[in-house]
Amino acid sequence: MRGRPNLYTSYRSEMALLPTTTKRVSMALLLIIATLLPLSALPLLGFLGDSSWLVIVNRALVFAVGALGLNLLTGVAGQVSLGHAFFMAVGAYTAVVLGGEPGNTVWGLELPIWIWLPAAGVVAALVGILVAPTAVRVRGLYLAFVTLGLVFIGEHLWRNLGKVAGGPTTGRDWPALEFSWWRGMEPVISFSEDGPLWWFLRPVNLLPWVDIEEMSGEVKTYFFLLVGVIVFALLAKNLMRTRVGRSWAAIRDRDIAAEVMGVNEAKGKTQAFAISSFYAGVAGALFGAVVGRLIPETWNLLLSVEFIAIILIGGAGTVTGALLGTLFVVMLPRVVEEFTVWLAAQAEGDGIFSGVADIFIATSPDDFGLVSTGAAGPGLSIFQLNIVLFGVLIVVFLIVEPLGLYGIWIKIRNYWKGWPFTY
Amino acid sequence: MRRKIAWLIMLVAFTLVVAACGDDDGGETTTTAESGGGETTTTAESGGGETTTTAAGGGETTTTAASSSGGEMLTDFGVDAENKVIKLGLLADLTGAFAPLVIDITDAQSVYWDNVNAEGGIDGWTVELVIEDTNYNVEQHIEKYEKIREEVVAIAQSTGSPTNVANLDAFKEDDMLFIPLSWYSGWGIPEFDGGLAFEQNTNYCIEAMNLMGFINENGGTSVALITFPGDYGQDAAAGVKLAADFYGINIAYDGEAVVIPGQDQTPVITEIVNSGADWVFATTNPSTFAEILGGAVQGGYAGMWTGSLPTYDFRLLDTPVAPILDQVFYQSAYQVTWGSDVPGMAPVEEAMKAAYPDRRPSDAFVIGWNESIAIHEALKVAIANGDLTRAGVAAAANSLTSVDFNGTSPAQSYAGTPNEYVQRLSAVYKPSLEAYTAAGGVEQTLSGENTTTGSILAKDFFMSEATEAFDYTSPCYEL
Repeated sequence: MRGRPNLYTSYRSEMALLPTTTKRVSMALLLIIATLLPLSALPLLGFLGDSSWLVIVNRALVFAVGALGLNLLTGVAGQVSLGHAFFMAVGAYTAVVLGGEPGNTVWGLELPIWIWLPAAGVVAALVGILVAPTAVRVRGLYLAFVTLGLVFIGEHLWRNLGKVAGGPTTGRDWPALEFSWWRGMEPVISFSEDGPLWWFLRPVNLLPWVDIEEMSGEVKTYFFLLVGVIVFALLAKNLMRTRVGRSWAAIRDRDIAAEVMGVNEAKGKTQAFAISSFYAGVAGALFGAVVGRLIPETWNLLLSVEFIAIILIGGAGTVTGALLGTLFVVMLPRVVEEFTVWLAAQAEGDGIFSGVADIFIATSPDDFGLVSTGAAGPGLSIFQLNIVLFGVLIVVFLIVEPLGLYGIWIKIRNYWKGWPFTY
Repeated sequence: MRRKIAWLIMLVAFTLVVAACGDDDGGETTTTAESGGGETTTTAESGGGETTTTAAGGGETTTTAASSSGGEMLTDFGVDAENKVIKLGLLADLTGAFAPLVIDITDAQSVYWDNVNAEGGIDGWTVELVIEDTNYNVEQHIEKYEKIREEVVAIAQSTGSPTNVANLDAFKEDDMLFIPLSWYSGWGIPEFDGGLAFEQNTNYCIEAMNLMGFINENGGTSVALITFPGDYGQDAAAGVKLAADFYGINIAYDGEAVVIPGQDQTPVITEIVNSGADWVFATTNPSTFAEILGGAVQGGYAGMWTGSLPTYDFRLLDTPVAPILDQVFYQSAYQVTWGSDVPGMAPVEEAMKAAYPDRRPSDAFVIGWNESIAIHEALKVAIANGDLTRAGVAAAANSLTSVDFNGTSPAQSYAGTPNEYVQRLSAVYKPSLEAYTAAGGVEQTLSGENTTTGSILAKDFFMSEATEAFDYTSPCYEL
């Protein structure tokens, strides 16, 4: 059925992961770009391979796992949860107790990653199942408040469970991202230390300009996380196409109607909480391992809100939206910073933008301007501007584009689909 | 339709911006990649017989460049030998929990280097600051360090304990000297920090021992101890307990790690009132302290109070607890307070007044100023040695035997063993509501005359017997 992308002749083909050639080609292209990204081999986007950007990209990948989880719960099953930070913390502390180094003041079993990473997800999922009954009883705003309570209970727990979380404001070290068979054994692959990529890649160096013998730790972490995100995205996408996913969507759209149709609401909500928490737990464990050390105060309401923002800005209910939203929210502060610095340079020079830039940027204490590059003003500092922008974006997206970045993408796509007959 | 186009335009504009940033950074990446592969270390042929340091760490290239002063200068990162520019990084909390304090410190540092540069720099070298906000957030600290690690030769201020501990491996990997804005007793121990923490002043543990000496001198025989959990509170608690053993002072209530900011402080207040102690030793933040102080005095507690430096802020004199502070509280200090009559204060006051005539006076300006003096001395030595590599700057800092702060703070040494160089002096001040109000109180600006934060010297820089007897070989509190 060439040239008729919307004509499906069977249910199977309509439900396919990549139903059209265009989608298949663009997915392949995306994978190639994602692979080449950290190797500084791409035109235009090559800067992202720079280690200073790559640490942010890596955090975005970790957050993407968490966002995919929240997207299943909030976007697909319609259960607004502010407790995501709590489930991440449960996973992170499971990981650090199982995999971390024991100390005078902290517990740690030094087990390998193939135990602590899945366990982080499983324990978080179990806690999710415990919480789920409340979700069956309440909905909407009330559920948001119940899960909000979780965050505060969590904050109290982590602050006072010194053996698990380390001291308040000091925290503890997480296990490194490395694979070994058992504790005390030499790691087979390390994803965080500088060195050769993977032993099996050595004989087949497909990219002659890349030195695979000397990969930086960040690049290796990136590849590890990229594989993780792809696996979790596929899982999420597949879940949404199954009976379970459809029952979630039914509950989201109208829970009573769903029950009338024979959907078991309690079961559906419990499943959604469990699976979403599994994602969150894994994301929390990865977050600790990638950053290396976290303090108990990390898992606060702000983290939960950041995930809600990711879902709203990206577009609720879609895998693409969750991924786009994560990239956008995590990378935005850095982009704004670079942009402001660039504007400041323009304001001081006589480039074509200097006039416009001068309105926004205060270059000296007496100068008028909205933003300054100094620590405390005049006006806002870049860093304060970032905080303001974050809030403004959530408001703007909710009002102007409820479908989020994904919605914008759909509109652009539709525009070009019909071009030149778009109206 | 029109909206769609608007979105498209925005998206294109956004892409262009990203692309613009990308071109710059892409260029940098190639350069570092080229130089990173070689792993060669060139040593300087210097006339003066200076020692040459080899750059540690994988993939770093040390290059030499002729400097105009005649000798050759070894450099690796953060130094432009051609234009004689040295770049220092600041990982400062400008939007987080300590922002009010850190903004003052950061601004004082900027003003300091602006003045040095205006007067011809260090031997013709100008110093530029690369300021990054860390939000007192561990992962942001690490990300921001990653962002600037190849641009700077040393970190002139790095806020916080957990942040610096988390980033310690990266500092060590780069031989990066850093000034921790945290007075944890581990920063003086080379086994812990790799000799890279360029600690300023004394630490919480020794400060607490000095204050216990002060309590002992004033006839105190029992103490109620209340602290935050973590490196800050428990480091001070360790010092209090060591000194209590030394002086035979009874700890009537041991509230180590019981004060949690933002929680209900009633149990702590009740314990203090019931303890019957002569003194309370507090290691908290100013707002929590004010809450506990007010509550305990209202509850009938009649003893005296003191505590670690960050427990008190002169802005508390603008609050209802001011009369109580004036009566019962002694504050600890590592530097003299704003408005003190010492020779070293004149340049600080003059420079800050010229740069920010409308700002309030702040004791934190002196902290920032002195941090800059210390790293200034280290850079002078590094330049004289002809070695402005990171390792060279760190070595220069660790060779300093006496950094003189002209009376604003006791001279500090970094050479030898921890027992030889750790700063054991701190001072005690008394907040005076009368002095503060007379100078104009909250209305004061730097442009005014005789500005003060209202602190009157009670005991000049001293070392208690407990401190003197203390063998400093490991951190008082293990993280």
